[in-house]
Amino acid sequence: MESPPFSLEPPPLVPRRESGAGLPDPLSATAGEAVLNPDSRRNSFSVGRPPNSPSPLALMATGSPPARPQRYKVQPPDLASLDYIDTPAPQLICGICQSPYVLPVRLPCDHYFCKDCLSHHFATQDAGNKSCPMCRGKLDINQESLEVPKIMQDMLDALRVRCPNTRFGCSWEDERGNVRTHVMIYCKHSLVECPVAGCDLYCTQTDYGKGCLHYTVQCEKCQGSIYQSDVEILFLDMKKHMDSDCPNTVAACQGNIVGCKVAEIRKDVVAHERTCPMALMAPYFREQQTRLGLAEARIGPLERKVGLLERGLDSITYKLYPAKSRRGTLENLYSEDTTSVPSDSIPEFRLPDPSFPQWGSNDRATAPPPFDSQIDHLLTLHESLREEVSRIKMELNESEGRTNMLVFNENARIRDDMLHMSGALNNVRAQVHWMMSEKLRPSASSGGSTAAADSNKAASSNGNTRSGTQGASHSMAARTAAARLPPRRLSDSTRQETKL
Amino acid sequence: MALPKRIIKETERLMAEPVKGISAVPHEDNLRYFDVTIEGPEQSPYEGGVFKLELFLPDDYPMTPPKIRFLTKIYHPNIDRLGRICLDVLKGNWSPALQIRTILLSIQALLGAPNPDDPLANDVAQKWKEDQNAAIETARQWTREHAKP
Repeated sequence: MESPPFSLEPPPLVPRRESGAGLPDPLSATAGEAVLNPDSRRNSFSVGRPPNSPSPLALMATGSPPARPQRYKVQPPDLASLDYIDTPAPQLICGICQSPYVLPVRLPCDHYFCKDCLSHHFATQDAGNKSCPMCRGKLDINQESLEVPKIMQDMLDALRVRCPNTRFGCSWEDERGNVRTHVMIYCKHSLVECPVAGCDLYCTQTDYGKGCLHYTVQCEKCQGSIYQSDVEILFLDMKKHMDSDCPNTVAACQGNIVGCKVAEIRKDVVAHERTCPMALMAPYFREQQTRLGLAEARIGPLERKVGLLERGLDSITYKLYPAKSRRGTLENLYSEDTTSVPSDSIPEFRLPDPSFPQWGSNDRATAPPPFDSQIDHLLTLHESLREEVSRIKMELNESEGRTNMLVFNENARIRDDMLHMSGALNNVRAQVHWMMSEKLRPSASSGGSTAAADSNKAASSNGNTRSGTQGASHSMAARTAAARLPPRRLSDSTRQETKL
Repeated sequence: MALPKRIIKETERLMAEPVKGISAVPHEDNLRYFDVTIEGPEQSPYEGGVFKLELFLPDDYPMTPPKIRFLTKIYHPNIDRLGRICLDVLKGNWSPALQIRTILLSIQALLGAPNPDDPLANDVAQKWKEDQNAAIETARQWTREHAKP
């Protein structure tokens, strides 16, 4: 163990192993020996939880290693078993392991091999009989190995690899030269010694605080043991087993995405899926579903775009026809309530085209024409209506003026007639007056004779109602009265004339 | 024990880029055990025949050579009646740089060039030396009888 930076030692319940005991040096670890050998691991598995295993809570409470991540030891990565992302150049491939060189060694015959591969090869040969695997040239084992060119090491370090802990969930990918740093320091999925005493196995760093997980588990459903010699994380394995393998877990038919309701234990479902047409079609439908999802995701932006265009159209319509702006929007065009539209407009649009409501209801029921032509249609309709109305207005004004003129002319004619008549009347009166004054002048000189004549005239003008006797007596009285009041008769006579 | 990366790579390559006249298919239950067929090379007594072999990769492969045996009966001075093959690269001259495909090519070449001076089947080698034409005719006949495609 490294020099302990903390005075607090792990609790006696969880004594750490002595340093170096369980930890092979990197070279022997890469050779796949020692502790990581899966066969040796398998033998140490016990069924059920080890009796001395503390609970995760106890581990945390005692301030044990999880609180101090530096205390546990990470296994160095095995470069020979790395997974390369691209196919490496054949010049970088070791002839023995068929993988890119790890710690390449150069032989006097200029052939290269991994250090480990070559030492394994030499181990199978007799001491004085070493040869190059490639050309079979004799080699002196005591000879200093030649220097490997720097460029080769650089090219090897530049190869891109995946993290060796990919199967535990790490997604790291980078150049091979960085893999050791990543695994030893940064990777959260690196294998570390199991925190429990007596367990020689390794767990991932993330599982470090969970206590010892190294015991076999049995699947409740199928009674099968899910332990695998090369897999450490049994819990994760268990889930995988339940999700995809266990024949007794309840699983749904593949066709459930298109409505197949079958959900039974897996082995029955597998038999069912062979006959279920929906399960056969399931891959196709799944593809369709993903395409549908994509299409729906694309509708959103398009809707926003349509909204923008609508607003633009609105403002354009408003600029062109301020009064009709409300009718220009698509909502109003397509709205069923056609009767409300004219009431909103200015009075000159009050006269709806008789065909308009019908067009609105019928066309909407079937297939609406492309909205461009609809708007055009409406606009031309409005134009023609507006012209019609203004024409009617002008005609109204014209006819009103004509009637006014007519009345005025008639009035003037009648006034002329009346003036003419009054003129004639005045003429008649002047004549009568003259005649009266002619008559009065001799009576003024002769006395009662004019009065008698005047009374006679008055009697005849009064209407011949009186009898002769009465008239005789009256004429006598009138004669005396006329004799008394001669000037007054003038006004009386004019009055009598107007009565006529 | 987990399968070494090299065996996986070799198997993948044999499947992806097969050699003409040679096929090697691993068993599903044991990926170290291969069923091999080799066509007899042209202008040899084995022309037209298809020979079955079994191939097993030992645990320390590629440090030790693969174990190969003819399953089809063949009349050849370097192949005994049990099907064992006398070939230097399968014994002392093995090198870890050799592969399954190179070994199978060597065997195909051995069919085209029998070597009666380094025999495994002594009686066959003897006849081959005494009357080569008769031996070749026997080999043809055996091929027709036993190595039908």
